[in-house]
Amino acid sequence: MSLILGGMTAAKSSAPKTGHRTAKVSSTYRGVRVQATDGQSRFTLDQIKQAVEAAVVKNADALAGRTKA
Amino acid sequence: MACGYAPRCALDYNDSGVVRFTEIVNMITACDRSIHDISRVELDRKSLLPRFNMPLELGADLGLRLAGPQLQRRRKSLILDSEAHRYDKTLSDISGMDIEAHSNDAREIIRLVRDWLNANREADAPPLPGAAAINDDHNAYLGIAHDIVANLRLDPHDDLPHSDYLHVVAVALPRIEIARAGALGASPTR
Repeated sequence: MSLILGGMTAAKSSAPKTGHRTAKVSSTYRGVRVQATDGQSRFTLDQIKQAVEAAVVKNADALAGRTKA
Repeated sequence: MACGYAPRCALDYNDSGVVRFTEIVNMITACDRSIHDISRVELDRKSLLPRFNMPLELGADLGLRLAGPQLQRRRKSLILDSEAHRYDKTLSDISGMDIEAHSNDAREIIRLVRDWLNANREADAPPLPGAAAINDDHNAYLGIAHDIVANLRLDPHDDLPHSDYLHVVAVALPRIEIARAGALGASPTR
């Protein structure tokens, strides 16, 4: 879990607007708004969405608890 | 990210043209909450010498809190270690502080971080998702991570650059919640 394995600082949306952002996400997870990350990505948001969606579809049964992931 | 925060990490910086510690201090001052896992002071595989970056970053954070500008004195910090009171031997100057032990257990780390963030939210903020739900979603993410990485034609998951990892997780979390909620035949719940 890479978020924890190091000195880490957690911030709210007041994080500085540095660097350029190639993928920005604003959505809700279990009632919490997922904060966009300011870091650069080598991928566009569409590329990441497609990669995640394909993985979710492929593993739909496992995620549904019908088979083991 | 599952608790609604945008994590910043020293791994975000890979610019050789700047002094890394300067950037880390700038990053700390830009945030109002910090998490330090001092158990990560391990021996370097090649030199077999300990790496002291984590205690250095913790020291910078505590220095700001104790003697920095007024705004920085209100910052919140969570200090983690693998074993209770191990820091008495390795970092005795922080003895007396409330250090949480995670036993190198990912589930316990999630619980400690979630509970700490939940306890330090604004009074009118809604409660965060439960640690068990976050942990289950984390496991679900790990179950599909290799496929996400393969779809992006990337290196193994553990080698994902931190910035790419954050972008992937930001997209995956809501999608995993929906997929798992559908499995339960109910609307997404906390």
